[in-house]
Amino acid sequence: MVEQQGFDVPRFCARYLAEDHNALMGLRYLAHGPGHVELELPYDPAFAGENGDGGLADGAVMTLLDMAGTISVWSRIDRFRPHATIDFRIDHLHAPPAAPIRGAVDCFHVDDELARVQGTAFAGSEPVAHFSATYAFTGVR
Amino acid sequence: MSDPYPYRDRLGAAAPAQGDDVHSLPFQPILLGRPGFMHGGAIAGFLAIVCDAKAQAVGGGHDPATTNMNFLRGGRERDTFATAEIRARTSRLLVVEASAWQESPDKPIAMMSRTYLRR
Repeated sequence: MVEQQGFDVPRFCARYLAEDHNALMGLRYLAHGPGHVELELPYDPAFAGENGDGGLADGAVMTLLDMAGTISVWSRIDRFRPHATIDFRIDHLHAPPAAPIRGAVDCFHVDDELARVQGTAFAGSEPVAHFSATYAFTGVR
Repeated sequence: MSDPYPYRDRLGAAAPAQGDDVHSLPFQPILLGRPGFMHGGAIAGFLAIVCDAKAQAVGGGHDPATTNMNFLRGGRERDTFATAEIRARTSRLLVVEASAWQESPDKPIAMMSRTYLRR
């Protein structure tokens, strides 16, 4: 596949977020800038956690942040280049409430092999989790 | 194990049978991310469920403080299994580590550790 110059974040999201696990979770494009992507995890009681209060499961927020991080890499390099998540860390600041969550992630460093991102999940204006992750470009060696 | 946990049920994750400690996540296309591979978020969500179940078994209540996740191999279009161990337990903290595999337990596809603040 020929790699296209210029990465259209909303257009990519319209296609990619409509498939498989991203579609299941209902992830939606919100906003972007160079190296910055914001996605929304809509509230759905089907994705509530174990607390019995209707709050979203941590796993749902992990999917949101991993996807926003993934796309932020392509936004920074302004082209599609396949990669895989190799690790992430999350600081849980508050339990996710029974409300939509916004994931805002920035890709702050890229080299030949790795891309690094960090970001935050918000419920309204309240941060619920901080995220950092590393992605490895595939097919490098 | 019968407590409501909608996200767990939506993923299709199953708790261990009595006398066993292996959780399972039967493959379904809704777990896919990039073509041919399970979504990292689905694997992470499954391991968080497995860690939480282990923490729950200790009793007394717990809130997750941090999560560390490593993806070791791509998750393919097949069933996934996982177990968890308690790595540390004090009056304040609980550290749980879980590992997920497909082919065999000695070829893990991912591992997660979660540190909980006990209530």
